[in-house]
Amino acid sequence: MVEHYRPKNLTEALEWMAERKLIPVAGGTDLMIRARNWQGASRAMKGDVVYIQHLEELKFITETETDYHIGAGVTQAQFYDCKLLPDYAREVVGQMATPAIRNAATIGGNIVNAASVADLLPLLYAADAQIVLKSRDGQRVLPIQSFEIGKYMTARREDELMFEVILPKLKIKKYLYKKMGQRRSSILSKVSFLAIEVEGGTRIAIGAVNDTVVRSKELEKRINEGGGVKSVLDGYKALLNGSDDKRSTKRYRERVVINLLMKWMEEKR
Amino acid sequence: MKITDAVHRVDSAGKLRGETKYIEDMHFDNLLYAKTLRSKVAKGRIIRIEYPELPKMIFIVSAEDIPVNNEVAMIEREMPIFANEQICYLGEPIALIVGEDKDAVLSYMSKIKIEYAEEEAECDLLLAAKKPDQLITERAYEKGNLSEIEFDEKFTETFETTYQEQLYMEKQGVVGTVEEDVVTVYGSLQCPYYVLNALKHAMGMDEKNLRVIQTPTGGAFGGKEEYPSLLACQVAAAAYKLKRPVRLVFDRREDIAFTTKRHPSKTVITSYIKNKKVIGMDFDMMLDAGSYLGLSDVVMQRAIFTMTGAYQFENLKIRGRTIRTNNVFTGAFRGFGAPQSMYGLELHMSHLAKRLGEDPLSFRRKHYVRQGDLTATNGRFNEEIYLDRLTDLLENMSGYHEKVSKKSSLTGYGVSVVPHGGGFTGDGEAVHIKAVVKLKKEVDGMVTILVSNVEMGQGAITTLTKIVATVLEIDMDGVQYQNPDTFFVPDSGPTVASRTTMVVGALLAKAAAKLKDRMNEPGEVMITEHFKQPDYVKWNAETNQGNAYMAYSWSVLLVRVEVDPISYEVKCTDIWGAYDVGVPIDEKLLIGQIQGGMVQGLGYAIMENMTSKDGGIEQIAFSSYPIPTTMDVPKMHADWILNPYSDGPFGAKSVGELTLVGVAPAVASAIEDAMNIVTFEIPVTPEVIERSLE
Repeated sequence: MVEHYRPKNLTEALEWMAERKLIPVAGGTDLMIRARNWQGASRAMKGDVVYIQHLEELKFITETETDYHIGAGVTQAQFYDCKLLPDYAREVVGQMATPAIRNAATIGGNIVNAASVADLLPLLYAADAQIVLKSRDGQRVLPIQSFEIGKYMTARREDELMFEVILPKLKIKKYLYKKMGQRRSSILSKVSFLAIEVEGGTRIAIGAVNDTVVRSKELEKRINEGGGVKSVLDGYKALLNGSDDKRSTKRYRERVVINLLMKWMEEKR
Repeated sequence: MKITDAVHRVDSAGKLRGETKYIEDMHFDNLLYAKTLRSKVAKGRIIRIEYPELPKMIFIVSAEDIPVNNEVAMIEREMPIFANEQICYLGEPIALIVGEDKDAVLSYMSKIKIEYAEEEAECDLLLAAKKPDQLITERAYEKGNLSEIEFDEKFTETFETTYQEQLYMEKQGVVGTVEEDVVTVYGSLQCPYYVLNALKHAMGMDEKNLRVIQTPTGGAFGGKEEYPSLLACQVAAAAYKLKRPVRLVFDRREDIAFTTKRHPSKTVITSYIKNKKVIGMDFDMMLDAGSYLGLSDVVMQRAIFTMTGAYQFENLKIRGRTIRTNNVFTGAFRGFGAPQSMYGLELHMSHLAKRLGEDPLSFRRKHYVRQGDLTATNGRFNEEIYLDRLTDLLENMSGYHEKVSKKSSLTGYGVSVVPHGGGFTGDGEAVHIKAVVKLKKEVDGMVTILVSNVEMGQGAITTLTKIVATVLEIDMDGVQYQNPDTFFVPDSGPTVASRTTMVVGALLAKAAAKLKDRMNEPGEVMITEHFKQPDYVKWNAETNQGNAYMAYSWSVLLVRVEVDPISYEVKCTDIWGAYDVGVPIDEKLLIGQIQGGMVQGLGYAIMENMTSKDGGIEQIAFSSYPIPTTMDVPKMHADWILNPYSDGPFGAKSVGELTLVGVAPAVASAIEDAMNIVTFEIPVTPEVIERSLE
């Protein structure tokens, strides 16, 4: 039998998580689906769960001079509706799932779930975001690259909850976001591509191709220095290791990335 | 009020308010739940099944519990209700595990061990087609003399299509019950009498002890034509054994993975051209029937008997084959073979027009069939055919010539012209179906429609009620229809083949005309009407010669797409359709069928990519098998001409399937036009477009 825990507050949640192994469930839009079972039978949860969606301490969007702080319990709809947040970030969230799912799904869930197709991740990679984790004994701050260590794998310890994401304020001069799916909405990405132009140059993040987001500072430097188009394209091609699957092909994914890179570099010139 | 004027649907209020009870919502006392134990291999023999000791309230129902014949009686009887020793596809049912508690059922199932002697499965249609043993049926016919004609050039192309899943909203579901000496099956289904016949064969009882009741059916599209017969036999045997009601409702993934779907196909077409006209065609098609024939041979007949579409080709050589593989067995789906054959023919016609430097509609016009012409199977087109008028209508409503001449880059236009025959193929209505309808005036004056045809979302209740009420010149409120129950309704045939309005509606109109004179009689009045084949229908099933269909409906479509040059994503912006369906019984229902057909056809054309790997369907979830959402739906423009059909009710012909059939070739052609590519497969996904650029 699966045990279900509903903490009064964040402190209690962290207490319980320090004492026993619990699976945090926020919006449940992914976990509940993955725990699917014969309709009418118990959900096939992989262990005891702790519900965190009601925790007010995780629902905030604030800013400092340099960053936005977004609580892990903020829903995707709240993120999208928050005019404080920059357009390029809101556009990414606005193309996720469907309005109904965005009302339940949380920002933290998309990040911690660490699906290779998670649409928030290219944004966070491009922005050099940081993830704040809390446990009973303290707090850790990890750059997104160090947090996402593989497909469905993060650096979160079992006693930790994601508390917030810190999104640095960037002076965006220009951006290009493209999400490719099998249809126009309510669909997982086959490829997602975000390029932004900030002070200091171009940043490019490619999602849904490899297990984790592709971002290369070295290749970005090559673009910024006006390096040869071919060498840039070849560089990215070498980094992509997608495969043929039930949604798309390796060949298509690479070609579209190349097309988007070329478009971005042409417009930059 | 004219017959074409729109009315409110009879069934919509209950459905919109959530009052309608579907099979999963219905209450049965002492209900048991069944889950299907399925094979884990695509081909092989079961060596041993180790069932752990049965806990209290867990039961096994398998082949040995079928009272008489462990065979699903469809056309053939080759498919077992539960696998005996031999396994023919991945997921083939071996037993039902039944219990009061679903968790207990699942827990028991997880402990069952099955040992197989696995054999090499044949899962590739093209490889299977090379092996004579894998051929199930073959039909061929000729017209004129293709081998002796003189021609300027010959042009061959090969087209392939993949699976399409019906994806009805309500999943497959049935309940079996036993009361006194009657076994009853309730279910979400299209064909109560198909199910009854299957039950008779399996249970060894007659219609006095077997009863089938159709429950409100949340979509079907052919997916609930033959498949529910299998499930009905399973729950009937379970209820009979356990003397309690047993419910079997599939989960969505189970439903996508293991139920029938549209046949993957390969078609090779060779045209013989003289003076820029097609004077002959060789058409060779194969369908992946999967592990059991089911309805596949009938599907293939519909595909090849009208393979010349809207055109008169004097010389033909036609062959169709159904091939056995160890994939999931394929079956009925709106269009029934025509979506595959018309995709090939129509895209080929567009390719020919381009090759010959002609406008695709003008090129087609040169070949249009006319009343009195010989059909591909040497029958006669009996009714008036207004293809030129229909094409004019399409050109005018869409501004075709101006649009095409002013088109910008990355925008494309594509057309198609297709017929679809109403009712069963050949003399099937008279020889196999023999429809009977009854109309009863109750003591209180209410008129009851007694037919076995079902409402499955298409509007059948509304259409039939409206026909009867209009003939009787009474309000629709004075006519009632109840879900078919084989204890009370005659066999008016299955709800398939675009036949309900055209064939059953016509019988009801005749019955209503007879009842009209007797409405003032006291007490009950019962009118019975039997189907009679029109004199012009002549069919030889041995030679495949004669009138393949009683009457044809027609559509002419124009599609506009925009293609993203970076991602190759297709945006279908507009579909225009001009239709001849005789006289529509209700304009709103017609538009419903048109829009639904366009959207389902669009999915087939560009996104519904379903593949099989080692015998297993790869896309079994909403997240991997995409159908269009409202964001993908184009502007849909529809208009029609009135062309009353003498044997249809108020002049109506068929509608349901026609509206899907022509969409895919027009969309594919539009994409080709936008990208300057040639394609030979659907769905035309961005991946296909990218590959075609070379």
